[in-house]
Amino acid sequence: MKRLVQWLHRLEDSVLVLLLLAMILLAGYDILARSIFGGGVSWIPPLLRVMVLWIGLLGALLATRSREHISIDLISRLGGPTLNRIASTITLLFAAVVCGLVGWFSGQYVQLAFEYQDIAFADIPAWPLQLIIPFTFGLMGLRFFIQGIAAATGKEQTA
Amino acid sequence: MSILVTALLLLLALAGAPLFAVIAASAMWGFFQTDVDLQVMAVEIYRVAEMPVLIAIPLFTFAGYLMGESKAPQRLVRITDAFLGWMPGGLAIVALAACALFTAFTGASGVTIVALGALLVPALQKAGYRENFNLGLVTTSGSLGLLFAPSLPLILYGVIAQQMSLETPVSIDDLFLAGILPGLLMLTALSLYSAWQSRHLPKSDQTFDRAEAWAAIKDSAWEIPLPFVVLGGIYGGFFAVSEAAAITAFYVLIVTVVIRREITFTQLPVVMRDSMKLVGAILLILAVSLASTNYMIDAGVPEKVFDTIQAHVTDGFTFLLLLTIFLLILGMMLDIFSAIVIMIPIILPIAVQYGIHPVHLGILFLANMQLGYFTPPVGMNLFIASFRFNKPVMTLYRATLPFFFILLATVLIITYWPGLSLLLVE
Amino acid sequence: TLKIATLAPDGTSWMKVMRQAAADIKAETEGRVKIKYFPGGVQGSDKSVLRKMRIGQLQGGAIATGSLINISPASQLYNLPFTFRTLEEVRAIREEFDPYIVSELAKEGYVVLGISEAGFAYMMSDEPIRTSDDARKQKVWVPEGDLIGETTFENGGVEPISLPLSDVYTSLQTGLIDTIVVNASSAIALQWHTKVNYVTDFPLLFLTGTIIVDQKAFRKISTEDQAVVKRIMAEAFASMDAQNETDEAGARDALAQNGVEFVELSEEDKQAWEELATGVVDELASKEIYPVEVFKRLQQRLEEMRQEP
Ligand code: NA
Ligand code: NA
Repeated sequence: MKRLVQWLHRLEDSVLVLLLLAMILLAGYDILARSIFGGGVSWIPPLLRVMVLWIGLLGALLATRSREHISIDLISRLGGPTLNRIASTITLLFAAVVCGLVGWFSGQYVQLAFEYQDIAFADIPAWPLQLIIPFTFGLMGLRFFIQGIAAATGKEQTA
Repeated sequence: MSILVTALLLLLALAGAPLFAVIAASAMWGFFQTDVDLQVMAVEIYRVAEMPVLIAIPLFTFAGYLMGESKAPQRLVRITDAFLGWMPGGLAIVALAACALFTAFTGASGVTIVALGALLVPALQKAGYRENFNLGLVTTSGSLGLLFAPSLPLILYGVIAQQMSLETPVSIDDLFLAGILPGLLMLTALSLYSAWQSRHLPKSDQTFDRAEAWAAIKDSAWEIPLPFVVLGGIYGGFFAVSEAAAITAFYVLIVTVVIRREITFTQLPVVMRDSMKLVGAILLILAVSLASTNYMIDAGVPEKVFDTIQAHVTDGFTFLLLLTIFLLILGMMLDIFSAIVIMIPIILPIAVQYGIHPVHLGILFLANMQLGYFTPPVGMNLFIASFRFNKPVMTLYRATLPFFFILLATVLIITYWPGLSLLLVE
Repeated sequence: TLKIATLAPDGTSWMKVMRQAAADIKAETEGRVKIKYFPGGVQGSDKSVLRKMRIGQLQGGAIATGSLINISPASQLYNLPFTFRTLEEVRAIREEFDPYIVSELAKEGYVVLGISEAGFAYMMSDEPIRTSDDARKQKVWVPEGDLIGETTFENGGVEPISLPLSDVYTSLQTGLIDTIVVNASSAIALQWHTKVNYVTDFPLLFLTGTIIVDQKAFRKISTEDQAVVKRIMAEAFASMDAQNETDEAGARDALAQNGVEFVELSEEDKQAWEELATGVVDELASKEIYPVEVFKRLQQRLEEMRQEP
């Protein structure tokens, strides 16, 4: 189990790093094409935009791992350890439910996009590109849930 | 949305729930109440992939992180010291100007804070400024420069106003001109404050040292071309903003990793990963707030609020005052493009009735929006800065407060003194 | 309630006509059918609007014809390069071929409330463009995802630069692009006309937009009310087309007043462009993005019309 989680972490990291590298190279190539060969490559800009979505969501997944999401965090800093634990548990489980819902409905939506053969750009169907939404939200929900349980039982654990 | 749910979400936010979850929950609750299928969340999140300007975010962020992790901040301090050491607040003023220029291109989407903040906060720290001042300055500067050409919000305002076929035409070039003086007013006010803040710093009574200046230039030889390449490239028509971001990322990557070797190949993936974590945290909030904005648009919330305000207005003075308050809140809640597209067609005809020049309205609208970006409690840039500099949001509320009041004063001047905007236009 | 989204900003004469039509429909159906508009692109791009129609958040959209390319090739019938020379030709053809487009889109689950004319698009540039050789020296913009525009210029040996709409003004200013293909009134509304000097006075293509409504949503309205909606909308579209015609003429005058010069083409130059178009149309036929057989019939009708005295 632990091996599997580690493997998943490494996979996320590598995909993210590779996406960023690919983004820099593709954007650079597009500029070259435009200034030297006189015209751009029409599929690069829309592809770059999809990569922004992917990088953003995978980055968010990463932030979930280390609990680094933007938050206000007032009560837990003023209260004692018990209040802190209660607040952590509730907010983490809340986040888990929200992510779970977004993931669930996104999954339904991607199915719909598949049925309708929604096109993203050029001839590329939209659904594989959109699949990242239910995937990341589902996994974020799972992580928040595990963290919430860990907070409730007083154990520190990362998933 | 019922009061109970609002209160509950607020409580969860204060208890430290991830902000994106709170925003997503409010959007979903709203959609659920109005019978909109919650699959809409996916449609809205996917819109992140339809906004060209967002390409700049990961690229500039990565470049900013790389520079921040290298020795570029030290070199920046050295070179400003050599040239502006005699000037009180020299480095702070350079930082302000740099942020303003940068924001004019990136449209205040938080890119300025993540890209330049990484460089400027350590630099200011090394020069001896107080931490709260540094944080406040960079957070504030994240939206400074919206009034300078070629900012996209200015262009968008011009396009919308033009299509409403008013008696007074609104050209984009006029807006570019009208933005100059109010923008400079904001810059000047903040520069004066910075100069005053630097009074505690050890006086460097050194006079201009030619040898040191030359050495500093040589030291920064690889960094100096960057602003020229970026700005020159955009103005010269060689590339668009998102492409400038790609070039910057590529250039900084080569310089710090291959040429200067201040970041090793083993460190590089770590920097990439860390910077993309930030991008993720920001884009996630942006994505879900697209959904919450969409709920508000779907339910017609801004229109209703504005109607209420309008019912209490008797004269132009009150109108402007209420408008300022309304726009501050709007700027806090909505992204600037939605705010322009939804509100301008409603506000503009009414403003014209009160004798407000459409060009002036555009400038004051954007000036207010700019302030809204870091208006507590939920101005977006406060959260971005909180994350970037790893400081509690409360610290940022305190750090930006003086800046907030200074800019509020300039916004009031801009609002009530149309001449400032219109001088260069006429 | 029908929720209809559009990219057109509020306050335009187009939106005013649409709002009036909505008020008339509400009055005549005694409040049973209400239409709520979301102008200015606040619901996102045309693609987002189509997605939202699918999940039922929106019931309809006023959509540029190019965005319907993946739904039905029939939608692209009027939008191939150098098809029409005058508005009279368009009107005559529309009478005959509109029902075809309507029935094809109905097969895909969309009710067409109207097809609106947005005028002819012309090449506008900083240098006069007479031949495709001239165009080859220019940096030509085509809207992102505009397959027809892209193929047209590529056939003429021009590598077009595709940018989103929002970047066009700045890019004209900086010189990243110097040639656009747009109708006169949009050029003025978007203020692109301040950045060009010449208009090639030969219509490149005809622009249309359409309001479509989801069939499932539309069928929830009673048959009598459906008829009312269709009739009032048809009237609104007719008056919009008339309005559009005057707007375009006015915009042409405004272009001239702003010092933009109209470049007249010789008959040979025109024929050269039309021959180039034939190549484009053949290439697009292989990609099946327009109804090939129907278009051939349309061309035949045009030939006949042009030969009539
Ligand atoms: Na804002
Ligand atoms: Na928002």
